[in-house]
Amino acid sequence: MGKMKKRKKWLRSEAAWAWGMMLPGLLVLTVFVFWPLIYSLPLAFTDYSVVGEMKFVGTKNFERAFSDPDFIASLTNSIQYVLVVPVIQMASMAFAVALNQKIRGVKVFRTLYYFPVVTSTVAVSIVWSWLFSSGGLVNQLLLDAHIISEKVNWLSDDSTALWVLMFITTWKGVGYYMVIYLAGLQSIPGELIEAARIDRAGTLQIFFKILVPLLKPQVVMCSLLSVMSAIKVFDEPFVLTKGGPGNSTLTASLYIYQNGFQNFDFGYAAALSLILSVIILFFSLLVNAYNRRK
Amino acid sequence: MRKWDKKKIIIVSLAVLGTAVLGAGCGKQQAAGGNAQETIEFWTISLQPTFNDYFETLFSEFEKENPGVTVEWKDYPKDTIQEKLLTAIASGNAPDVVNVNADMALTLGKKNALANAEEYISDEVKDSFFEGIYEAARVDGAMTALPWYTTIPVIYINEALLEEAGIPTDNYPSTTEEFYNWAIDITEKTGLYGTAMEANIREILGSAGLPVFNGDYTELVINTPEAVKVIQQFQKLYDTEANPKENLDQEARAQLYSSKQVVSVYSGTTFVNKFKTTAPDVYENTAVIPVPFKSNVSTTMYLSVPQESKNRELAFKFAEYVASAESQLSFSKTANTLPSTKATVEDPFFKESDGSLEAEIKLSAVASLTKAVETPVPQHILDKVNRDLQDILFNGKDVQAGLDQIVEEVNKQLQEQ
Repeated sequence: MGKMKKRKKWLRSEAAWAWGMMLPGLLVLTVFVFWPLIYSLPLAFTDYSVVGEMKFVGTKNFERAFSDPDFIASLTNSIQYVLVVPVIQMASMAFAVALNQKIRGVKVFRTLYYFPVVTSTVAVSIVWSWLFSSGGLVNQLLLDAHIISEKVNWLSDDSTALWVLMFITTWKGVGYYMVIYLAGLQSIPGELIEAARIDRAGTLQIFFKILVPLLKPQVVMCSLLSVMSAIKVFDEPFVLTKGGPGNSTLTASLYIYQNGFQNFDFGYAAALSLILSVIILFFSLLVNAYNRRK
Repeated sequence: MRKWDKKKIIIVSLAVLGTAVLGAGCGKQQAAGGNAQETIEFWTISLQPTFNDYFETLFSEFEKENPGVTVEWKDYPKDTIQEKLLTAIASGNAPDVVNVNADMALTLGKKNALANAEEYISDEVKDSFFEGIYEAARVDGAMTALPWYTTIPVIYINEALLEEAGIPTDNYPSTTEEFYNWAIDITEKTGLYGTAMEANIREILGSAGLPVFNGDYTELVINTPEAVKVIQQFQKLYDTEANPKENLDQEARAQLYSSKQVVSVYSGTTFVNKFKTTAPDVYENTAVIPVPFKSNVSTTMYLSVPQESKNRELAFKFAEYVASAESQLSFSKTANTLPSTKATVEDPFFKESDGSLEAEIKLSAVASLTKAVETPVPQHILDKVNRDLQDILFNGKDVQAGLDQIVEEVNKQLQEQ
């Protein structure tokens, strides 16, 4: 009887309401995210190609990964890609501060800066590939401005290709983080800024001593998201360069995709994913530790 | 009122979810149990909705000839069909007939996922296809697929650009060497790119009649003296800036050709659609010639029957029907594709020209079908080799050393798999 009463009471509680609302989403996440995630752990120790039997191979996939020059090159490129994080974060914060002013037409600019985020990566990449082609607009402008003396093959030169992709990622990502920073800026009480101005603080001082410290939660979140996206980058190299020339733009996600979904070597792809996850975890902890220290 | 609402919402949510889950589980059973007829599940690549009318007629005729059989048609984009197929095979729901290309047939054939066609078809059917195209689907002795429609490259030439530079338009190259020298000469005289060919190992070696793999696909053989010579010859096009140092997929080639930055383009028969409406003046001035190389690398669509198909005999009967000379002729007329069957090209449709560019393309392509070769390379290896090949060609690296390194790395990967 007591149990029944307790159950009835629980059903009427806020917790029951919350669980009821979360349940459909949790079920979808369990089936499509958590289960594949857990399943990939044992998969990394097998030789599995969907067709045929699954064979346990111990640590063979991991040994193969660390002696695979393509995987090492792809990891190096993915880690180099993290260089876009500070650029994106600084640019998006600067844009957010600029677009937080009460000036005419500011909403138009906010929309324009956010526009790249909602455009299709494939369409955008094709347009950028034209712009960066040897006879494209970028070369034309740089030649006209006498910045370069001869055409540069931006996407086919192994010393420039990855930098071009990183530029496109930055261009596409700035608007997304800018909106988060903008929301953060709008929650900062105006009195604080006014008080600082009365105390004769300059614009830079207000930015570094008031805005940046108060935006710390957003900085932590955006940096984490940005680091994870940078290491996992896939779309830009997949559409624009397929990882070439050589391995100069081969990223870890692209290499995992090629092994998993083109070669159906799912055991090996799972092992590579696991290594990549550990690296992402390491960088995430690094970002967290850095922010906690400050 | 509020607590009743909460309970109601929770119960309704669970009921909806439960119904959805149970419904999904029961769907197939109901279909299987409620339909005593035999069903052929047929998967194609990117053919809906453009060719719905053709396929509806094709299926209804097959169903009429085979009472009790129903064809169920599903169409997927090229990029996803391989994944879908594997998932379907793994979950025991494999289609009966699936449209694949030679690369997919090789990858799936190596995993023993496709039935051997030669156990089901007659010698007459086998001999009806062009040999180079048919034999490309043989993996470890088994015929993994039947050839279906194909496309073959031709050379598109903007004659107006040649005339402006005073280059004759009545004497086009007929060998590889002549073609490369012709392209270099155009660049010297016009300042434009002489030609646009992709740095693709399959195209470059295939055109020279050289293999990419050994017979059983266990070793890459692209560093033989003959292959090195062919690649070095091709590298000259980059050294002289006669070929753009870019990832020249069809879109990039179309953009260069439409904007008159390149005088000639090596591309398939459907390439004309990429510039016909966007650059009508280029279309007006375009002429086509057959590819002047030793072989002509075709891109063929095949029909495979998965080992897991529940009715392989009927599946092959259907595949044979779709790939027959008559069906292919009718499809060629509808889709402007080329057939893989020898008898089809004897039809007046492939012999006569109405003077249009499309008709000229068709005649040029048909003329090269006898020297068509299909060079299957698993996609992940093709990507790897092409990336490294581009690095050698674009950045002026040593061909022999570069190819030796590619071969060493890929062969190591092949052994480890």
